[in-house]
Amino acid sequence: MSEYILEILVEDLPPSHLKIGLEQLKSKFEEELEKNRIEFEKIETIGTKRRLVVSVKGISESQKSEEEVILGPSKKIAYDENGEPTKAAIGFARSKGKDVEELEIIETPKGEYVGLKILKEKKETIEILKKIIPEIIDSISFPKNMKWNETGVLFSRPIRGFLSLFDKKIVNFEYANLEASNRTRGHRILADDEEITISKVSKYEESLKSNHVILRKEDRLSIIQSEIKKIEEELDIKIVENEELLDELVDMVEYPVAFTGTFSDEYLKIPFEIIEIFLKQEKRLFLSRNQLGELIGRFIGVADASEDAKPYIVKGFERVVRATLEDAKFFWENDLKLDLDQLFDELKGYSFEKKLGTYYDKTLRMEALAEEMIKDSEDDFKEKIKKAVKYSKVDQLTEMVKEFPALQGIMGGLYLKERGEDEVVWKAVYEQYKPQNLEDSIPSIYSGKILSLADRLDSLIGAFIIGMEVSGDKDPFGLRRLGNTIVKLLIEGELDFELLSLFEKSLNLYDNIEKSKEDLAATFLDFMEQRFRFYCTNFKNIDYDVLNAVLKTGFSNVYLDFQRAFSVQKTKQNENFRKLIISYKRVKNIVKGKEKFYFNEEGLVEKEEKALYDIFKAVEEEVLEEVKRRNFLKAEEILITLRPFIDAYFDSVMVMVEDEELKNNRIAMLQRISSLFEKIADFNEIIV
Amino acid sequence: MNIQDIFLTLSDYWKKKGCYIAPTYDMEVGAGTMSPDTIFRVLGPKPYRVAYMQPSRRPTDGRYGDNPNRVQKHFQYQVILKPAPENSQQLYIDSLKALGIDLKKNFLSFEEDNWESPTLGAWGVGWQVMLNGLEVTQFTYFQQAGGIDLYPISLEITYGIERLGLFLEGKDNIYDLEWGGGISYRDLRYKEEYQFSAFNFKEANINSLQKTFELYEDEIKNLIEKKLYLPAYDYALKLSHIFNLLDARRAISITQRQKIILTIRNYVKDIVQLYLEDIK
Repeated sequence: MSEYILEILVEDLPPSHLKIGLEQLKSKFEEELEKNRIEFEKIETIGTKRRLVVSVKGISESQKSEEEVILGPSKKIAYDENGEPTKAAIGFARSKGKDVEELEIIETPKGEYVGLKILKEKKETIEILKKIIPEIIDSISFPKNMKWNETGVLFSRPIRGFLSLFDKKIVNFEYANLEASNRTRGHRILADDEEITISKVSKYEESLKSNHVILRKEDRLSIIQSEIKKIEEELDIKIVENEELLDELVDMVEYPVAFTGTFSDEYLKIPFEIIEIFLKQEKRLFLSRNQLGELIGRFIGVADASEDAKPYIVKGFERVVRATLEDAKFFWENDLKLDLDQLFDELKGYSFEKKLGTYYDKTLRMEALAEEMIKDSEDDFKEKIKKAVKYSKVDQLTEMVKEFPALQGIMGGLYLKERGEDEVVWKAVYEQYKPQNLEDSIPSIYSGKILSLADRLDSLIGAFIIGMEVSGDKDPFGLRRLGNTIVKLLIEGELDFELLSLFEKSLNLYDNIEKSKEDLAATFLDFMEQRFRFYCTNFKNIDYDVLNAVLKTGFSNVYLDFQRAFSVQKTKQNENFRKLIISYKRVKNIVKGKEKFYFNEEGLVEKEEKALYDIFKAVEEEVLEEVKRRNFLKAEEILITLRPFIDAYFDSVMVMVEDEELKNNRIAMLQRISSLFEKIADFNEIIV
Repeated sequence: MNIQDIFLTLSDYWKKKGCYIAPTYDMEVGAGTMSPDTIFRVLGPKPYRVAYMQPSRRPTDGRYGDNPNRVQKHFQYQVILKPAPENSQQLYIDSLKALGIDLKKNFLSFEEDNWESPTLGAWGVGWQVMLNGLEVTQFTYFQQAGGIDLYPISLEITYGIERLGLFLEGKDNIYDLEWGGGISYRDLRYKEEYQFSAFNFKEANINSLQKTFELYEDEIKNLIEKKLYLPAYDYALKLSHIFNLLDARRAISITQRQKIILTIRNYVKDIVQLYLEDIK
C-alpha cells in the first residue's frame, strides 16, 4: 500500500476559508477516488493559513478491477430457430470489435440477452490522480473568490505551488500555470521561505516541523493553550476566554508563541464591552482578570514568531494597544456627549426599509406593539418600556456602532446606563438583539424580552405586508431566522401572548395595505406554525405526532401551545397514558365528522354508560381548572382515570343502535368527553 | 529612520523593481488609489509599474492634533504592479527589509481585509499587513475598477508612511516623528491638523458645499459629453472630497449617503468607459 500527499501552497488564507477549503477538498477527494475505483484506508485534510493538504493513506497502486457488461439484442432476435446467430448478433459483435462466437448469454430481469463481458482496463492510480486533481482543485469555491494571474482561475487567495507525491514519485499535473513538484516552503520568516525538497511522503510533516511549520491544527492549539496557561500561572491571572478568537488565532499562525503586555489602568474606566471589542476585533488580543475576577490592564496575544522576538512584539503591541484604547476612549466620551433626543429625531432620516419607512417610524410602531403586550402592567413599568423603545435604535447613529456594528444595542444600553436610567430601561435596550440565533440566549430581563419581541414582530409582519416571501431554500430577508427567534423568545421567555391579537395590532399601524387582512393573517399564522414545528422538533425533541395532535386543536398562543406539546410528549412515555390514547381513539372514531347532538343525562340506560358519565362529571371541572392554570401534566394525569370506564363502556355498550334517539344521545356524551380531551390535544393523532 | 528616508528608501527599492516614480497628484484625494496613476492605469491590458507618495485626506479623522495617530491628512506610499507578479508577497517583504526591519525579531501577519471603494466602483481581495499589531500596509489584488473586471490583475501595495515611522522609531505619537532636515512632523503638520479639523467639523459652510456639489456636477456632465474624461475625473474627485466634508459636518443622512455614493460611482463609470474607448 502507498501514501499520497497533495499540498496546495497559497498566500495567507482567512481562517474561515481554510476550514471551508479543507472540508471541500476532503469530500471531493473521497468522491473522486471512489468514483474512479481507487481503494484507500484513510483520507484526511490538514493545513495552515498557507497550505491546504490532503493525505491519503493506504492507497492502492491501481484501480480495482471491474467487469463491464454490454448488452446486445435479446436472445430471441440474436439466434434463429436453428440456433444460428442472426445478422443482428453479428452486427452487434462487429460494432464492438468482437467475433460473434465471443457473445455470451446474459440473464436480465427483462429476459435473456446476448452481450459481452469486458474486463475494464485497470489504470494506475498515478494516472488517475493526474487527471482528477486539477478538476478537484477547480471545483473548490469560497465565499469570496479572486483572480491573480492570466489563467483567470478563481480561488480564495493566489495559489503559489503544488507538492504532489505518491510515495517517492511526483504525480504530475498542471493548474493555474503551476506544475506539480516535490517542493514546498517552510515558515515565511523563520525558515527564510526557501524551497524545501521532500524526498518521500513520510518525510513531509517532519520537514515542515524543522522549518517552523506546525501543520496540524490540534498541535498548534495545544501549544497555544499551554503557553497561555504558563502566563496565567506565572502572573496569577485568568484570561477572559473567547473561543471564537482562539479558534481564529490557531489558523492564523504556523509557529505559535503567546505573549503578554500591559496597559494603563486609566483605560479600565471605559466599559468592558468596548475594551473587549477594540482589543479583540482590531488587535486579536485576549483580556485578563485578577484572582478577584476584576478586569486588569493586561492583555495576552498569540504571534507567529520565534521566542526571541517576544520582547519586541510585546513592546510593539503595548504601543498599539495604548493608541487603540485612546481611540476607544475618544469614541466613548464623544458619543456620551450626544443628545439622545436629538438622535431620536435624526432617525427620521434613517431608512429601515423603503416601503416600511424610517427607523423613526419603526420605533413608533414598536412602541404601540409593546404597549399592547403590557397593557395590564403598572403605569410605572409602561413608562419605562416606552422610554426603552424610544431610545432603542438611536445608537445606530453613533460613531461607535458605525465602526463596530456588533455593538448595536449594547452601546445604546450603555449610554442610557451612564445617563442614570433604570435597569429596566437600559438593560432592555442592551439586550434587545438577543437571541441572535437559536443557539443564543434570550434577554435576561422582562423588559428586554418585550422590546426584542416588539422589534422582531414589527419586522416580520412588515415584511409580509410588503410581500416578502420565503420559498424553498430562498429566504433573502432572513424571515425564517426572524420567525425562529420569535418562537424561541415566546417559549423560553414564557410570554403568554395571543399571536393573532398582536398581529392585528401590528397591522393597524399601517395604512394602505394592499393585501386582504385575512390572507395576511393566514400567511402569518401558517408561517409561524411552521417555525413552531421546526423549533419544537429540532430544539425541544418533540415528536411530530405530538405536534400534529396539539396543532390539530389550534395554534394561537406559542407559549401555551408549547406547554401543551411538552406535557403530551412527557406523558406519552407513560404506559397508562398510552393505553388511554388507544381508548380515546375509539371515542374519536365515533364522534369524527358527526354533527353536534344535545346530551340528555336522563337518556342514559346501561350501567357502564352511567358509570362513565359519573366519572366524567367528577373529573371534568378538575381538568378544566388545571388547563386554566396551564397545568397540562396534571390535567393529563386526571384524564388517565377515565380509561377503565371508557374501555368498560365500549366492551358492553353499543353506540350505533337502531334507536335514533338513544344513538344520538350516546354520541353526544362521547362528544363531550372528546372535547374535554381536546382542551389539551387531539390524541387521535398520537401514534401508539 | 525619518519620514523622508522612508519614502526615499521605498522609492529607491521600487525604482529598482522597474517602477516609474510618479509625482504626487495635485488634488484632494482620500487615498492613493484615487490618483489617475492608479485608477486609470489598472484598466486595460498594458503592463505598468508605478510608485508614488500621495497625501490623503479623510476629514472625519481630524482630531485637532490631539490624537497620537489619527489625522485628517496622512501620507500613503502607493505601488502598483501590473500584472501582479508571482512573488508579490516576497517583493513586499523585501521592501520591509530594505527599510531595515528585522522580521525575525517581529511579528508580521497578513490579515484578511478586502478593500472596496464604493465611489470608484472598485474592489480587491487582500490583507492588511500588521507589524506587531500595527497596520502598516494594505495589500490588495485589484479585481474591479469603475465597475469593470480587470485583466490583467494588478497588485496594489499601500504603505502608511506615518505608521512605518512609528514602527521604525518605536514612538507612540506621530507628531514626535522627524520628517528630515531637522524638521519634525509637529513643526510641519500640527497647526494644519488643528486648523483643518476646525474647518472640517465646524467652519465648512454646509450650504455652499451643497451648492458647489451641484455646480461641479454640471461641470462633470458637460465634460463627459465632450469626452474630456481627465478633467471630468478631477471633478469627480472634487465631489468625493465635498461629500467627505459634508459627512464630517454630519450633514448627510443615511439615505442621502447611498444616493451620493451612487451618483459619483455612475460618473466614474462613464469616465472609465471613455478612457477605455480612448485607449482601444
